[in-house]
Amino acid sequence: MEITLDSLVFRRYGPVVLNATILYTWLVMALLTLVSWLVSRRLSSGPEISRAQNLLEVVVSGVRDQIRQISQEAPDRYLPFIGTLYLFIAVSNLLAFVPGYHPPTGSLSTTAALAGCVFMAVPLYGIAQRGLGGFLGHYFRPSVFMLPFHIISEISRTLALAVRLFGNVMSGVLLGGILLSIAPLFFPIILQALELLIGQIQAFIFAVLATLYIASASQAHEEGRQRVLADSTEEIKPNQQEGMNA
Amino acid sequence: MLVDWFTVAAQVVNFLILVALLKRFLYRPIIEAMDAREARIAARLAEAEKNRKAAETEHAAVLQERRDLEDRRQELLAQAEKEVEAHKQDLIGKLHREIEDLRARWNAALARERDLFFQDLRRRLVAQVAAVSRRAFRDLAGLDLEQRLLEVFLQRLTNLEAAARIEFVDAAKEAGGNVLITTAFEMPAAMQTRITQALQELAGETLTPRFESNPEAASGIEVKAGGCKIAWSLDNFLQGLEEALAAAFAESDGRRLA
Repeated sequence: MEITLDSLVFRRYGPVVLNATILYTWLVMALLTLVSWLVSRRLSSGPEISRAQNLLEVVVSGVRDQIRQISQEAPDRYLPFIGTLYLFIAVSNLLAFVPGYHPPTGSLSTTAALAGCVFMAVPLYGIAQRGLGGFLGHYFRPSVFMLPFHIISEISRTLALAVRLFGNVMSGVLLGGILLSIAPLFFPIILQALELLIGQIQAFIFAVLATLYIASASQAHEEGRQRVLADSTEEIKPNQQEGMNA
Repeated sequence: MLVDWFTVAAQVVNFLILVALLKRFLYRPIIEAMDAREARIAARLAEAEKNRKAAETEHAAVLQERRDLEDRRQELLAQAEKEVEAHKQDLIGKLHREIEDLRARWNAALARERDLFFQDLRRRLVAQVAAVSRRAFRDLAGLDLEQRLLEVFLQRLTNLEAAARIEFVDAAKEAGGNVLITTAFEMPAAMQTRITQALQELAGETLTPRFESNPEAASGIEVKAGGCKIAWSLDNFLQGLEEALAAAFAESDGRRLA
């Protein structure tokens, strides 16, 4: 039994490898992009909207609301990154019920890549928001001796992100395979249903944690919270944010 | 090895591509559509609020107009009531005046009828009294009433006051001696002679008397010379009776009208 999809290689061109992880990732990407494109071709801003548009609006609104609640900030800066994380992981895990499909999130390479993206996004958003000095100053609080602990914390939580998602998805797939050989009736189905639920929860956890990490590094929390409480639904304009930060 | 670093790198690239794709095809159009919808809803709400305010203003204006109309109606009603009352009083006044007029006319007609009745009654009474008297005279004295009347008349001529006598004589002279003697009955020739003699004695000259009988006249005798008249009849007696009867009728009418 394969514990990782990376070893399932279809083509190899020198160092370039086309394995199952990449292939299924492309599949999910194609599906998400195609559906988005098909729906956004005929968007309506009136009261009558299609069911697909309604579904996408619910998803996008839900993600924005979650980001707003967690970060206490205007969500649109984080939406493309956090929303894509959530949608990619959720759809990857959701398609697990399709026979022959293996979720790319069951590969540690994928989860490591996603966690690495989060790891990189934290300083990028932080510097963009607070400037280099402001962001780096965060590592020296409350004391300069906290620097190693901050660095360890950054690395360990990134590893935890990757391993948590990988472990949950991979264990679900493995457990399904094992149960299929022990008790071929009923149990695998129940377990797979449970695995679908766990997959959605993991997507949610991954996105929530990524939001927390990015928001905590990029925003002075108290300022952001006050600002969002003062105007919880309206978009915060960039010049206002700059003024607040100054 | 659980981690294939090429795959990790490829997945990072894949993920960044997916972020760009979804940003292009999902987030931006969906958010724009939602924002556009919110803007439209906000515009509609603003429009609705504007319409509501306009409707409220219109409503207030209509209410004010209705109140004005009601006030005007009350005013007109009060004025109409006043006019009706004035008209009623006017009509009542006219009615009273008409009633008074009618009553006056009715009273006048009543008085006229009463007068006619009394005239008729007097005539009848006179006739009756004359008839009764005539019969009584005839029964009691055995003489004709006319005979007795003539006697009385001759007596009056004899006893005529000086002023009246002079006036009669002057009138007879002016009339050229023509004297008209009217009686209610046909006077016998002997009587005519006595009358003529008595008148000639009175006047002291020759007279040409003319005798007429008028059944309509009251019983008695009347001598007319020009504008002067000497008469005696039962009317003189009956005058008192007639006045007493008139007074009695007037008293009776007054009680009935009251």
